[in-house]
Amino acid sequence: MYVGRDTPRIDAIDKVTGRAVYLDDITFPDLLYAKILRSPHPHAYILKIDTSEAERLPGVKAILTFKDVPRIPFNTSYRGPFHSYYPFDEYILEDKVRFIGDKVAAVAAEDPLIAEEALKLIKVEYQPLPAVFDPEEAIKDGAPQIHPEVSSRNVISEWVIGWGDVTQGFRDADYMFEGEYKTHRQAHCAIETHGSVAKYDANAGELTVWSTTQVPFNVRRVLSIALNMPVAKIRVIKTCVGGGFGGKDEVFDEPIVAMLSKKAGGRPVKICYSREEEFTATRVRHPAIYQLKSGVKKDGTITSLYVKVLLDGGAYATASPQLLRVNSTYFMNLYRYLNFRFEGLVVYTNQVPSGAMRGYGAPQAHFALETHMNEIAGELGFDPIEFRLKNIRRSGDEVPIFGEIVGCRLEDCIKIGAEKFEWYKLRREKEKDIGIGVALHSHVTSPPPRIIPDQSTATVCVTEDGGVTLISPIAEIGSGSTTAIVKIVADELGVPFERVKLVEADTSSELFDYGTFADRANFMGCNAARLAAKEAKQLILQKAAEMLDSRLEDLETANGRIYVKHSPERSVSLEEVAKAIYFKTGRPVIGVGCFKPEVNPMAWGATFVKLKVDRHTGKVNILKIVSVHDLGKAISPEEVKGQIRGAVAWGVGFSLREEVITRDGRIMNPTLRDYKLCRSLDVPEIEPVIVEADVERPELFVKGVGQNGLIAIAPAVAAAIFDAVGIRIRETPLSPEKVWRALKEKGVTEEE
Amino acid sequence: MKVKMNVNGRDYELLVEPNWSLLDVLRDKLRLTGTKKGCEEGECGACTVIVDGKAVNSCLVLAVEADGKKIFTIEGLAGNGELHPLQRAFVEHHAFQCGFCTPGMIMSALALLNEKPNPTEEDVKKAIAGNLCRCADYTNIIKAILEASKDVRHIIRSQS
Amino acid sequence: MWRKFDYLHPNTLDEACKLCLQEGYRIFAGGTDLLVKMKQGLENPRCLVDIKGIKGLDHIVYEEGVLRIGSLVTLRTLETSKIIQEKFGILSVAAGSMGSVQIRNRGTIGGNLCNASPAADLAPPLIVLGAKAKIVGCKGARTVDVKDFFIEPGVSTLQPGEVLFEVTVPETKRENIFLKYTVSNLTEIAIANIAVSAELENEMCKDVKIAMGSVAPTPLRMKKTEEVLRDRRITDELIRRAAQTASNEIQPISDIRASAEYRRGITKFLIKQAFESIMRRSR
Repeated sequence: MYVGRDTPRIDAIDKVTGRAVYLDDITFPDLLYAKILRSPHPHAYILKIDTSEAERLPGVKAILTFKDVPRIPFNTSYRGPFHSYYPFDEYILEDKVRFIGDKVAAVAAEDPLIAEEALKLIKVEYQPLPAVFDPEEAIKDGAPQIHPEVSSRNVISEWVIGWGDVTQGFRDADYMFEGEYKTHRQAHCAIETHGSVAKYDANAGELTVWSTTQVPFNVRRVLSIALNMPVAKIRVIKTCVGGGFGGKDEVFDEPIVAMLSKKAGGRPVKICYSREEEFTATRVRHPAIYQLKSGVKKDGTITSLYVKVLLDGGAYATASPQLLRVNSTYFMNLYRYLNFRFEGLVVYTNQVPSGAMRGYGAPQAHFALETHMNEIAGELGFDPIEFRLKNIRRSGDEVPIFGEIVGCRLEDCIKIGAEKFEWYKLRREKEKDIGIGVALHSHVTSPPPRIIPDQSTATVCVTEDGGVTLISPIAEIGSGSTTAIVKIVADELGVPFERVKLVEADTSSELFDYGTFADRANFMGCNAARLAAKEAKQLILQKAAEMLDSRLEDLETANGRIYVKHSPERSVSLEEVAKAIYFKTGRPVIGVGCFKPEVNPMAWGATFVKLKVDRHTGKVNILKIVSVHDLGKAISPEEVKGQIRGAVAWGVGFSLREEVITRDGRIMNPTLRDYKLCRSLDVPEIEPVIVEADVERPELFVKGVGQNGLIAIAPAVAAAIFDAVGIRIRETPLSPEKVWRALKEKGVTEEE
Repeated sequence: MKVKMNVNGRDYELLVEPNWSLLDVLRDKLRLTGTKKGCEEGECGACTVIVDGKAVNSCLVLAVEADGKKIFTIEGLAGNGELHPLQRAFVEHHAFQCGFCTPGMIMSALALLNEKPNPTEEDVKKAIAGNLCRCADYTNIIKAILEASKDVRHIIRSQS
Repeated sequence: MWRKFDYLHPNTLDEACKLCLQEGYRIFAGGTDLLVKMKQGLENPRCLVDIKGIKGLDHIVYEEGVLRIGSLVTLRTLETSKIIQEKFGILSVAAGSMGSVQIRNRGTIGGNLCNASPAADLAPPLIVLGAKAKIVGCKGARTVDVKDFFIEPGVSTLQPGEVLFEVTVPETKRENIFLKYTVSNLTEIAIANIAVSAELENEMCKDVKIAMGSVAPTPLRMKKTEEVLRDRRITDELIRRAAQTASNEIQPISDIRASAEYRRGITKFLIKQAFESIMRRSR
């Protein structure tokens, strides 16, 4: 059995030798390099744009402005007709700009320097418009309207959901609690920047695109809309991705390089974003302002929760509408309340667009929710864990959008984590300036069927010499999903792991898959591959039964052979069976698997943090984090732990030090020098704990984990800071200066 | 300008412009694309190579400076189809995820082991402090480097 | 890549000086500051004059009680040099606190001073050690105290046609300490840094020199704070007073790294840390 065991990853050799091909490693003899001219204004019309001098620069082969591209609106995050409620508010290029860094024009030239010089020669006449940078200002009357063609009051999307009567619930409560919680902009900072290469064949009317993307089929879908081309004429190939984290979950520059290639007579055109462009012109995490109001009974039961949220969507809608809806589910899935109401708005501002980012709104929602819960527990004198256990959901509960909760081991996560963390011992032995905190999380594994009818396809072929070729569209972006899928197939067919060859499918395979996001890659990819392997196995077993003169149900597979149970000396090799099918019956052995989940196995977990606060400087030193996850089945335990650790590192960054600083719509720290990522010197002690599902085939139940280690870190840190030095901070990041100011205000700095 | 550089034991003679970085020349002219470009400001370390025994960010070295120098990149490590102990350790300890930081990480580790064959955990952390990893938390990377330090000495000598 | 520039690599200091008389000709050593600024469009030299080929600029010599450090000595060499670790420890600590190994293998002491950032980590230790900078130019050589080397952010005392030759540091038998405060780890630019050189006799502070960086337009010699401490017994109360004086003496700005107010708070913290450390050591 390979599932549950660690093996070397199938992409290991390529990655440790530097042979893996990332986007910027691709070249062609006649390659052109593209650069994008970006707006210096946060909001402006383009009145005139003169590219004549730039066109005359030797080496410039194509220039695009809004006049040269189809005027077809699209949404870069669009995945299918179920997203028809998304505003289609973007064009490949437009005569209006809406944030500093927005696209104005694009140039393709013989080398990047010439392209850069050409940008400087493009003359643009702007008419600056009033701009709005604050979401609370953006919804006021009289605010500048950023997308009047698709929205009013700058609202991208509105969402209200709930049950019961919260007002009555407040009346029934013994205590009421209120709080406002704010979260900030975080940047993805994948070490590999965005980029794509496009090659347009005018004769055939066909386009080939290479992209460092998490969602090749999605890119194809959006390209077909934006370029008005049939899907079959577009081929999108995903290169090895150097980190995605949600930042490569939509279309970026692919339409531009496609149009440039078309204009340049079909020469391939490559664009690679600079690090500065990564910060200023891709996506950020949605900043959020939450207002929570709860009613609680003396015995700790929550009677009512009311949540109001305002998300800052930035200049384009991207995935904001869906993200807002999913945001409500984080509040609904963790706890039982008799009454609940969520009112959410996501709005346009003239800032860099917000988009999908590891956690997909969960870190923001859980910072508000779990901080609020910890505050309630504190005020009422409950142990935070006891308070949770009184109110958490359990298997069998029905929740909106998801339906019935199955296989929830949240309670076990809390108890196992508390033990490993020595929670009760640390509560008793309070040390000066040291604090502990706990927070819970829930998250999705693939979008719930009511949000996206999810699907994934794969084929498994037993080759004529008993090998296995697995064709899977699963987009490997670093977590080892493709290795997991190979294990599933190896186990299903009973062949050695090394005999399974994975072909990473591009869109021309037509094996549709939505891509790697929402922690769906393992769950969807493994189940699709398993179904395909099962079908291929069926063909093999049928022939083997013939060859061994036995019944189908008496056969089993192992080590590349098919045996008769109870008479293992009667066996035949996979190769012999395959040859018989290929050369005698004249058909290949191919199984096709198409997986459509009925249930969305939610992932759950608990995070425990121990830290020390330095009263002189406000610096928080995290001493230990225990991160517990109910994740179904760990197909590759070490990879899973690596994912948890990486997500926890993100959480530490989100909580304490990563912040995109903006002033009047300009990003003030668009460099890795001033945006502080976790380095080797910053890593606290992290203990990842895996809690597996107790069902018969847990690997079919494999839940997402990649995003989850991050989600509950910030509220656990906030709670631990309060435990350590008695100050409440309801705004991330909990930076040293913020903690220091709070300490000063309370009068508990060094002069105590 | 003409430069003669020795890369991974092979001599190259090239014509380069002053405004080309060593990184760009390695990747675009010599097609040694294992060394990666992550920031071009000396912060991420994905472009780390070894020049005359020292780990440097090749994005901040001019190609013309490489004249007469001995340069090692990730491509120079695996010999005769066999992985270098550092590469083997990275595989065994799951010390990579997306793999983009990996070549730079390994070169920083190699430079460390050349200088200090028996590093402590603290030494390793300092040696890779200039290499950013966004996927993981460095734990497995540190483990892999410490593991490799146990059997790397004889290999290093034969590489230099 | 950067915008086009010419590249020259003279063999003598004389040639280098003559070349740098010209407009747009910049000295190029480690490049870790200059090349980054060029990428950001903040500098646009016509020609880079690479001085790394000039002999006699990378020495570390300690004789007759004077340490001479050539301007091309890298931060990594400073960090790991045995003689500097033993005799001038704070220089090694300061050098080792800058950036990553990759940066320190290229960055030079000359570059750190000539880049003239108020946050230059080598400046406070050199200032409190009474170091001097020997400058060579077309019109001859001159020596300035390192404390006078910085004129304003990004501007050093160097005139066109001048090159920093070496830094000399007299021997020290005092209690010296260097501390650097950053948000996360030492690869970052300091929010504030401090060097203290104190002559102690029992608990008496007979003399003290204090310099801080990143809290004023140039590295700052903290004369008022020194006044508070000189010829006095070091007590907790005195350290508190010195900390308060220091936090008022600095002229910090608010930037993306920290507010001026926070820098004042950190200054108090660093003064206390520095003196508590010195007192612990001397007992």
